[in-house]
Amino acid sequence: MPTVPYKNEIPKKYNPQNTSTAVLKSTFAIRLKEFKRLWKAISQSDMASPEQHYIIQGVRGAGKTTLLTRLYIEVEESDSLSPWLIPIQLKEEEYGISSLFSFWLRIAEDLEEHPLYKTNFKDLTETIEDIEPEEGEDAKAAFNLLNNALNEHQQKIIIFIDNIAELFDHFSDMDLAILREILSQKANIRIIGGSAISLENFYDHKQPFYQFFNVITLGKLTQKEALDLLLALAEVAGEDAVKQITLAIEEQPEKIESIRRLTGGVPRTMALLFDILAEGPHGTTFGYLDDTLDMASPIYKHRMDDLSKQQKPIVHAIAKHWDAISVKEIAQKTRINSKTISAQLTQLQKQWIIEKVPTDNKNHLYRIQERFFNIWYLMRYGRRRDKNKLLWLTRFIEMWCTKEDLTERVMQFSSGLSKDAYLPGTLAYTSALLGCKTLSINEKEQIYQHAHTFFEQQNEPNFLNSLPEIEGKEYALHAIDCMDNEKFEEAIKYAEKAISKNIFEAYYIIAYLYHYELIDIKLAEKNYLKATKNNIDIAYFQLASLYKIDLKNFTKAEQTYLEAIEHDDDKAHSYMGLADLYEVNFKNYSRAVQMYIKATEHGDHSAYLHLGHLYRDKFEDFSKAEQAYLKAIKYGYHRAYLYLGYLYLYNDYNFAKAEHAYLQAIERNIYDAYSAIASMHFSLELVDKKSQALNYAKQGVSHNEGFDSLYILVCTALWNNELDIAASSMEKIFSLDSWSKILEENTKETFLLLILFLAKKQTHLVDKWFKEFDLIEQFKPLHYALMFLMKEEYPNEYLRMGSELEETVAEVLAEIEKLAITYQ
Amino acid sequence: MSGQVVFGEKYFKREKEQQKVWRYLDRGAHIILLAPRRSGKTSMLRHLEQNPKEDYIFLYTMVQSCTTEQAFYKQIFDQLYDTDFIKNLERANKKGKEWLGSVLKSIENINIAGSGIKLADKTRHITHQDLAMVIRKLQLEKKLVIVVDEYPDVIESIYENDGISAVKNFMKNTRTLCQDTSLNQMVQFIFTGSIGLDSLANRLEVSNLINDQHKLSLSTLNETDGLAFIHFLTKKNDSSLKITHDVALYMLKKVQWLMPYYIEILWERLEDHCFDIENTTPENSDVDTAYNTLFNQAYRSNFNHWVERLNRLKKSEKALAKEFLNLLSTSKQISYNDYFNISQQEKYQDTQHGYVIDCLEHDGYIFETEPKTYRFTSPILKDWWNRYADRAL
Repeated sequence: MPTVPYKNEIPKKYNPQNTSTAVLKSTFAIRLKEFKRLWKAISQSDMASPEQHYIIQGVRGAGKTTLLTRLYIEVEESDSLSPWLIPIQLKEEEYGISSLFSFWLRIAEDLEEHPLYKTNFKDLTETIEDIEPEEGEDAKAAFNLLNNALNEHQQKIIIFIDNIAELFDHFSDMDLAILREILSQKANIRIIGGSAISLENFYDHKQPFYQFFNVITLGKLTQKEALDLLLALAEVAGEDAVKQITLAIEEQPEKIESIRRLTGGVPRTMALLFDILAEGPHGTTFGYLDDTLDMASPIYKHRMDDLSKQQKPIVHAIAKHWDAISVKEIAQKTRINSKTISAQLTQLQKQWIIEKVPTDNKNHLYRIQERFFNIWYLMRYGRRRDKNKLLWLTRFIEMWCTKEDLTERVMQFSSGLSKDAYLPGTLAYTSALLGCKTLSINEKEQIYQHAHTFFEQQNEPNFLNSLPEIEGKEYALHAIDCMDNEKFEEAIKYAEKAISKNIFEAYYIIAYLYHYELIDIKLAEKNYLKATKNNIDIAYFQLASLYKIDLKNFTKAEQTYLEAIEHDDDKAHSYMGLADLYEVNFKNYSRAVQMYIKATEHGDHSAYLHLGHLYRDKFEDFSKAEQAYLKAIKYGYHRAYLYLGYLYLYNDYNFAKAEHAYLQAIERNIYDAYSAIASMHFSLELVDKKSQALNYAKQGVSHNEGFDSLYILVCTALWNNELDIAASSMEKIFSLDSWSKILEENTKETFLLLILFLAKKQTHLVDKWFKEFDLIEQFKPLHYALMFLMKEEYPNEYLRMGSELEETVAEVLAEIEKLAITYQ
Repeated sequence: MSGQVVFGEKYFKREKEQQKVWRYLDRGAHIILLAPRRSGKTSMLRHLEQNPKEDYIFLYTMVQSCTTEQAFYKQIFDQLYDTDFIKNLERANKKGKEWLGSVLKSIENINIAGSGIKLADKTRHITHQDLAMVIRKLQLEKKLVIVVDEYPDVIESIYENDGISAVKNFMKNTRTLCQDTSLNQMVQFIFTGSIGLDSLANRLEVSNLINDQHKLSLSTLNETDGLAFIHFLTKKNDSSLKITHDVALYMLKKVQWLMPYYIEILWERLEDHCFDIENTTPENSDVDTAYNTLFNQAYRSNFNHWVERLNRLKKSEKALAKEFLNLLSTSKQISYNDYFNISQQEKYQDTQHGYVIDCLEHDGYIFETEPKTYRFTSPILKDWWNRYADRAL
């Protein structure tokens, strides 16, 4: 309940309902829109008939309780409302209320203690307590007594309930149904609730109950609201703070934005960070940060406690990762299966813990929505021995400081290093800065240099030794970054710096860059060789590729592959490269077979697929091919089922076995097998399987809308007289990218499709396509066959046909007729 | 606002629909009011209750919490002795609380206490005969109309708890009340609820028990009413919005299926949006923005009744409905043959596909554009379905 202010009070961060009325009113700077909307709804109603009830939902700290309390005050202070409308506030933890009956009892107690109106409700509690317990009936009776008392004095109540979802969760279904009846029929009571759980969680079972609440969501603060909040907080804190904040807003508007990002727009967290902001942009330490994080503990701890057993490890994995992370990665880290994780992530989004970062494919990424929460998590749960134990500080600096801030900090760095500096703090700060991703490597070099000199001057060898050096690895990573950004010169410069710190992998980076980016094969070769000399064994493989593909020096390639096999731990890929060399370049298939076998021995079982193809195509040894495919399957290369299917179908003519293999492939998500099996049914004219064939073909297309799958879909759809499907699939074929090239490669197939349509009497469609896609020249005999079939509409066209075509056209017509019978 | 039942000034009059109800009542019919969720039926019924024609007096009761026949009649008795009805009674008859109390008390086993009606012997329940007796004894000069809201919920609960024979008994007794000609001089019933009573009765194979009640459905607004409704919303909310005729038409075009609820949620988002951009004269593009906002997480709860209704179907029924709606969402409209095709899959072998499509139609998901061809009732629903149905269901 709001109270009288005492000296120097600041707004309560956790229990706003305990903030004094005056302070709460003066600092109420945000959620004004929601306040106005609700206040309008409350103040303009005389509650003559049942009124709209509301639920305000939002993450913990979003300002729900403050808003509820603010409304409570407004009702209490309103001259026009307070004589007849009594506000009641149920606090966040109303542990005593476990049923609708006890809810009414609790309200009655409040009324009986009301400073002004207690006489109106004298003995109400006692009368209610006397009601005999009986499911449902006692709650109804209790309400009747309460309602009668209100009627008698012509008063009404408005109840502000924090955590309404949790409260109602204790109620039985019967209680909820009764409450719903009361709320929608009785005019004496109005409820404004708050909920930290997204109500969508409740819809499954209790939804009809929540349906007639109007839900208002308190989202992230807008930029303007963020400014308003900070200014209001500054005014309470005093003149200096106002000055500092105004300055920050004027000079560094992007700073406010970064705070908003950091806090996820949650007002309570922003209020916590206010002190650091008030310190100004020129502070050299983050002394307050520890304290601030500590202050945030109650809210964040609570947030963690709210999570289910299954959600905790997921949130842990995401928080530790800091950057957005995929479901697959979470699964690896938590050993929870992806399906469960996905389901939980959906929940966690609804609870405003996690936010989704959409990608252009289905594998979206997820991160902790409120970054400050993530920082808190890193600090609290980061392992002590962790090399990155200051990670949380680094992350904070990254988020907190704008680029200009950082530049300034770097510039001021050396001047901040004075005799009075607190050495462990300086070391921590330096270390954190050196870890910052947002600092350029140049700036880090500068900082390192200054700190190094400083500790030397202080004659502090311990600190000097603890100062983390910029690692050669970091130079190498920067080199790779530069390469990705096509700054090749700089890439080489930093790779050389890395080499100077004995990171010889950087030779490989340089070589790779010459090989694939600058296309200077000579320099590439030279650097690969340097790399190999320094035992960077992965270089052999690239070098061998360079000989094979770029220099076409197959002998040298062979020799280098052999060296790669000797030195590189990943022998399998060298064997694969070598096998390919023998197969494609030397056409020495027996050697190729040997090398593929070697590759399998070293763990690259995809080589079995190559072996299968080689046996099948070059040796025509189907039994060995089958063995190889079966081996591939054994090692999880399930595509081999598809090849097995082909093998059985085309070489053994064993349809049952082929079908079995295709089905196996389908079971293992080799989707091309859908089309393969449909195609088999179609070409074998298995009438009793025609609808099945269509289904397979559809499945095939649903996974891959390429020509092959669409082709068989059109065939089977026509076979099933599903003309809509056939026509739309045909249109899809026509609209495929590079359709003309496809046509060139698949003339025969396209021809078959067109005559199949004609076999189904679809002359108009074919005619339309001929015109639309200019097919007449390509399929001249077919064109005349079509004209013959449409001779009533085009009486003269057919006659234009030259005599040399007559026979062919007759054959086409005969074929159409045959198809019409075969696939009727 | 769009959630709660609205009263008085906030109620947008549906003159034609109201007239329809009066016409049926004047003819002495018992009514089953069929209308999808969120179509405003309860608001309309409560309006009729508070503004009855000269010769009528209404008793409105919501029976959702009743899970047995006994609880159902107890609820009606509770409502009879409720202040709301007593007010109606006093206004209409000059007979008041005491008269009512004496009538009720004359029924065996009933006592009146401060908290309402009490049963002296808890094992002896109130029955339909008791209700008939009370109505006769009341000797009202006006005709009593008992509105039973959420009636199908009771049938469903009784079915789940006590099986089909209990449902049959319950409905037979209600029918007895409806068919008693001398009693019908004094009372008429309006049954309604958010579940289609007729489709539920079909499923339970008890349609014969509701045959003598007249089915009446609530239709959508026409364009003129739609425009009037937008104007009404602006006035009712004391809003500074200035919506031009063209923009209002555009709003209706966006909603298409002109149920007040859907117009209202769009209007609310539009007002919020205009508030945000500080411009009270919206254009079509603002309507588009507001329309898209409807699907923001924050407002998605506006559509939860769509989820909830499907969740009440049996598992396989729900799957079938979902599959059908998925198919529908990918095209403008589809034929019954397509639906039939889906429903013939082995997994739906034991699913009453007739019931499912009835429900979808009754609940306002789909409507028949031409015989045996269906489409989504509203683009809002279709858009919602495309974006969120999978996640929500």
